[in-house]
Amino acid sequence: MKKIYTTIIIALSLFYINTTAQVPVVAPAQKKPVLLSGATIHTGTGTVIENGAVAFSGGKITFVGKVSDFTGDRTSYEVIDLSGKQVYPGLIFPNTNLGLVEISGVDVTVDTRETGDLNPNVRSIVAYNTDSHVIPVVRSNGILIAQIVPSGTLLPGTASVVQLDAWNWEDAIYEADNGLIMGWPRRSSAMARGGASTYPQPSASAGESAYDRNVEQLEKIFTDAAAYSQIRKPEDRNLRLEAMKGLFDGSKTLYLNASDPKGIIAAISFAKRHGVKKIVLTGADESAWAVKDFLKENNIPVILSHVHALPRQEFSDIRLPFKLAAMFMKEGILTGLTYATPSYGYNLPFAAGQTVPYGLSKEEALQTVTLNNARILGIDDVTGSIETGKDANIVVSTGDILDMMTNNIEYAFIAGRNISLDNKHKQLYRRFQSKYENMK
Amino acid sequence: MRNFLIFILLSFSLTIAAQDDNIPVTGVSDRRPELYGLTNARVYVDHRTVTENTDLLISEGRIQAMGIDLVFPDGTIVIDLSGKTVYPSFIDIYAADYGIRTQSSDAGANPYASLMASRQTGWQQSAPEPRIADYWNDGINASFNVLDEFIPDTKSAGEFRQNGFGAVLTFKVDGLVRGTSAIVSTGDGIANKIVIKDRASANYSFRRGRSQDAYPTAQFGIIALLRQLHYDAQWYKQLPEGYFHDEGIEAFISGLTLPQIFEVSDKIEIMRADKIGKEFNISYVVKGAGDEYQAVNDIKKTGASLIVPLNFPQAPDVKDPYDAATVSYTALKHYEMAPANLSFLSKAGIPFAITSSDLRRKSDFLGNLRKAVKYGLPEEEALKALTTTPATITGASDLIGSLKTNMIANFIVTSGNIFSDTCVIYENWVQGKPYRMVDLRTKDMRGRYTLRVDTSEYTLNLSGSFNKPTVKLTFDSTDVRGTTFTQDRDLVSINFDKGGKKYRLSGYVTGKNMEGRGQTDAGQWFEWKAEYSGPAVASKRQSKPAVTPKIGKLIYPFASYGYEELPKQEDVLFTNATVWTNEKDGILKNTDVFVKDGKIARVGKGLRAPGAREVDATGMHLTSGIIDEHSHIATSSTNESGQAITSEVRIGDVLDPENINIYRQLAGGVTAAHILHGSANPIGGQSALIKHRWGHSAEELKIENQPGFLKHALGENVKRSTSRYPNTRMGVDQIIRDAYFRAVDYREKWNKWNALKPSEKAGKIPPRRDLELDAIVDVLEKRSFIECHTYVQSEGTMIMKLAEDFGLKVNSLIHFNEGYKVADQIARGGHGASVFSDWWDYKYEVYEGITYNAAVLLSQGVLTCLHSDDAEMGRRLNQEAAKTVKYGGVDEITALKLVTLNPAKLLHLDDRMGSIKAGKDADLVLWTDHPLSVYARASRTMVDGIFYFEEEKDALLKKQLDEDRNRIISNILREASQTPSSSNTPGR
Repeated sequence: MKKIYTTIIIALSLFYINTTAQVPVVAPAQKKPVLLSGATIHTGTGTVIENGAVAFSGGKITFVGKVSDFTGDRTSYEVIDLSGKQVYPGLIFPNTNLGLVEISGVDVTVDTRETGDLNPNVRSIVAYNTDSHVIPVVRSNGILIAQIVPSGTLLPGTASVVQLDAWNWEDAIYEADNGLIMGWPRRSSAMARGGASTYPQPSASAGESAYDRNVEQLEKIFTDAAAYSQIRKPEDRNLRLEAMKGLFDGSKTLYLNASDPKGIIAAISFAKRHGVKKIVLTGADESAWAVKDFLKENNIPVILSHVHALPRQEFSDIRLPFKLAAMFMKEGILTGLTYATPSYGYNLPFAAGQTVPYGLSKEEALQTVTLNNARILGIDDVTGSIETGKDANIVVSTGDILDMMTNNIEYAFIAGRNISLDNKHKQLYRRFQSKYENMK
Repeated sequence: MRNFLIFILLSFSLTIAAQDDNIPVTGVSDRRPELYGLTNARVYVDHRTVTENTDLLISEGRIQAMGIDLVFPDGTIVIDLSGKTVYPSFIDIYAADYGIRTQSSDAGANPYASLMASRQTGWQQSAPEPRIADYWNDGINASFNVLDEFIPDTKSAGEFRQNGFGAVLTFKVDGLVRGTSAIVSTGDGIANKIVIKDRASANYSFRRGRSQDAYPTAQFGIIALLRQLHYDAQWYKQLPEGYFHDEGIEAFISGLTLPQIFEVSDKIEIMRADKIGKEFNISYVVKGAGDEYQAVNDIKKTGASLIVPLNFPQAPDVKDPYDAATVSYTALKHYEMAPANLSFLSKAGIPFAITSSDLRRKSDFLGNLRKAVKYGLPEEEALKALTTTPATITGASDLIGSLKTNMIANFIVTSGNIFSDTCVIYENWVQGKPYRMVDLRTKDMRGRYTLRVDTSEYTLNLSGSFNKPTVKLTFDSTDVRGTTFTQDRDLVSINFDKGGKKYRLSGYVTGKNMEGRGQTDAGQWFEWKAEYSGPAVASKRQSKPAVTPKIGKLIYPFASYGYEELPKQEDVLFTNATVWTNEKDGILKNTDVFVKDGKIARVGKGLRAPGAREVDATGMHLTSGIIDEHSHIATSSTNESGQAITSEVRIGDVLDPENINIYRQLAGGVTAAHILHGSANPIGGQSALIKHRWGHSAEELKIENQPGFLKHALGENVKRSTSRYPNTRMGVDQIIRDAYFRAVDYREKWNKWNALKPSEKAGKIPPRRDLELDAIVDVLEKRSFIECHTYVQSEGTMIMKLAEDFGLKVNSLIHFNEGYKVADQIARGGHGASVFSDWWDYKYEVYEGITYNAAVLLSQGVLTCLHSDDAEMGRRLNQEAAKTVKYGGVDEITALKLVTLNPAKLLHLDDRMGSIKAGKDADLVLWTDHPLSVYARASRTMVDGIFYFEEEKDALLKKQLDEDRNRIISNILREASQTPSSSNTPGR
């Protein structure tokens, strides 16, 4: 293992003679077919293939199976021998501010929240900074796709799905503008999240009157938007209402966050009453568990963002946040995982791993950050698993990707492009290793 | 005896008159004899002595005589109290702000506050602003005497009298030191006559009140200020005249001779107040919050007397199951158990007085008092707590609290046992003046009557209470509907419906009977008469037999996952484990570990330990308990942000043993933690090292014989506040350097002073003890060590250099995200580092933080550990250690040491903790899997040989907790349905 590492470092240092922190060069399009051979393949659908092979060409997966079943002409492939390694679908990081925040404590580097409570029309994609230093750091632990969301108000804006190796935001687009974010206001009496990392909450959420005022704002704009969506050619174009159109024909999914059980019921009932076709509950935690039957009946998928969190209540099961993924999955609720802070997104695989000693199998845990997230984001037809015909979004790890002790990403491919795994941390690490080397 | 009494009475007769005063007469004077003789009462002379058929003679506000068959002087107004009970009236020694009207916030603004503020921003101050020579801090109001502002308040006085109070101790609720109080009566009139005892106590609290000062902001700052005040007082006493004058200190010193009353806001603060008291030989009488039962054993140990309110909480709103799920377990339990608080205190033998303060409605007082009695408080104890005890505490027992000749005539006249639900207070006599709640001069009409209206004959029954009797009218043995009875002194009226007619009777009392005229709704007049035929027949509503209500059990701590019984130390044999020794042996497979008397006794194969509890650890990993080198759990204060240098504050003063995160850490295999001051100040405060002994008191959490640690902080956090110095890393260097130089000079001053012979000291000014500098001297003397929050390399190098300049090391460079840039310097200087595994990017100064930091530090030979600084991540520290294997290729044994042995070394505890070796503390974790794997769970966690966390026991605790919650919620719902009227009351 050490040897591999040294090799990688030497290889990379060829590209980066200048050790000043730089965002790595974007990988070129796949030119030659690639065959990953001999690894254990975790397809993301629950299947594990020992001594497996994955082939991809032109960015698409062309073969998945046993090495012995691969009948293609090996000479026409760039063959990478991966005996003893683990192959996974690229991990998907939903519901994050990645690329909108460079340093959370420095206001001017934060582009998550526009002025005003109702901004359905603002689009995260146009602010997504492909040159953020955070992205390569997150990427190098196996995360290749992310859903970039604005946050912090009632309707903070429109979300897009991106791949994490691009020259600019247009290149990065995986699915543009297919999600609308909503934060349901909180009644003052609702539970406060004790000690845990907080999910962005709408601002005006203190007190009953604020709650009523905020709900009224939402009632009005959803009513107006539904009516507007029926006018074929409006005389006055309204960007806000325009942006909400897709909710009513199912081309946009409503990603809503509500923090307390009654808020979740209220928000989902509200959305359904207004004719919203697709709804996903984000920031789900024990509050969502309290209304699991309601979620099940209404077929609402959930995204858990608080695996690494303390329970809400001092009397809650002290390991409840670790157990919830298994609990939701056993109920048949489509469950995805995310990580609350974008720059800690590199811990997404470990959040998934954390659910394993508390009820999920390793392959199920993998699904919560791959195929399940793809389904929730509406991109499972093209990615989320290693299946023929899907985009070649693949990572190769020395060991178990979900365990921090063994997670070590050796290769990552986005649409077949062999992307750089270098990042600011590694660069600074090398820089100061040089310092100490030179001192010897 | 009789002769003697007459003799006394005769001698009185010369002076008997109304209470004298010095008010000039305007108009025609109206002084009356007002000599009262009360006869045949049942009298509680004090809380345990009752005399029957007793007479009292009252004049001039005093009890002039008391006894059987007294002969009263001429002109005595005799009142027959047959069948009535007389108690000494109650005393409330916590009538906060009674009669205090001026509550202006800036009237007492301290000009010193602005001086302090300007000092902080570093402006040159030529001279202090003109101000009175009071204590520098506005929270210290020692020189205030409540009588400077006291004006009797008729409305509040009336409320007190309604509840049976005749005297109260009033003080002004403002500040940490609140000045002196006074006992005043609850009578109306001029203040001169109402004051019973001036300077009855000196009052203190943990609350800043209307202080204009920035400092102190947190409880540990408040404690530090109170301690400093005491030391200032000791210093002040030694000063020669004309050297330094301070009204505040002088008043504080003179106040120390009075009863010392300290107000706290919960039971844990009782121990905190008591600890301050013990340091200065003071026994505080502590005004509690009504939750004392939750820590009754610890309170008992303090030996403190208490003043306890009857502020039983309202039932939490549990109508909606989702809302009910937001009510904390402690709130539910407290709702259920609070009425039993005094019963617990009484059983424990803790002396207490009862106060009517903190009630939502003053009118709840008697009801709650009776509730406390129903919950097991003996009546005699209750009466004592309202009479003898408060009088004794305040040194007023020769004036009030019992009924004896020459004492102030403060007593209540009741219909019977004051603790019975049906008892009515008829009169409250305050300083010999009757205040009538029920006019006893009105004829008691309770009884059975034959009522004749026209030719019809009814039976009228008036039962129940004297002033509001229950009326029942029957005709031919059937109840007559719509019957009412009202009485206005000598006039009565009776209404009822009969045969479709409405009868309205109006009349008057004549002897035992009533008579008069009436009119039907048809306008027809008639005569009526009601003749007394005997005592009333009690109404059917039977009083329920007194049953002590059932309540849940006390748990330790009083929090979710508290134990009904604390887990005990056991001799344990772990068999066949994979043992991570952290010693030369490395990892030992198939090995046994024997734990005896809280220590690791033996490590080896095939151990035998008859009688020990055997834990089969086959397939499991046993490691040392994780030590979190940096945590902020289990403390009530984190930052004292009122000043930039606050080395005087101590986390050890404010530990919170009920914090659920203690238990949660155990579930992550964390057995000990270093609890630090926050990072708001260049020099913060002193740390505490704790073990996670869940269920034990704050003092018991502390690791024995612990070294000191002093928090320092650099960078963005300390320079963020624009209103104070420093605002740059340059200023941070200077303010810390200055503090260290001040400490060096201070130590020198003391050394010189201490070297003087007693004779040489005479006439010289002693140095002033300064708690802020004491803490830095401890660092200079290496009794305490520097913990320094730092992120970027420049400031890290600065603090290392600064420490070296004073011959010191930075014990731990905390967080030091850029430590990897200067790892060689850290190693060379022998400093240590305590860092995050992978935190970065949340602010500018951590933008160059890297996940490889710990690995680089280790590679350069820096003593390094990983910490959490976060209650959530704290319980996954084994995973944080595992990340160093990934980031930088640290070997697994070294990686685990980053959260076990290395923090033990940094905290100077490695002689007792941090590895599995015979003789060390049995702080152990049994893991279900490789301890560095994300798949490992802590299955059992042991501290000092005691299993505080075990997965099976945790499941059981959770089950008990859920059942107990359900039980209480169901009781609340049942109570609500039994009292439908109150469920409509808003706020119930």
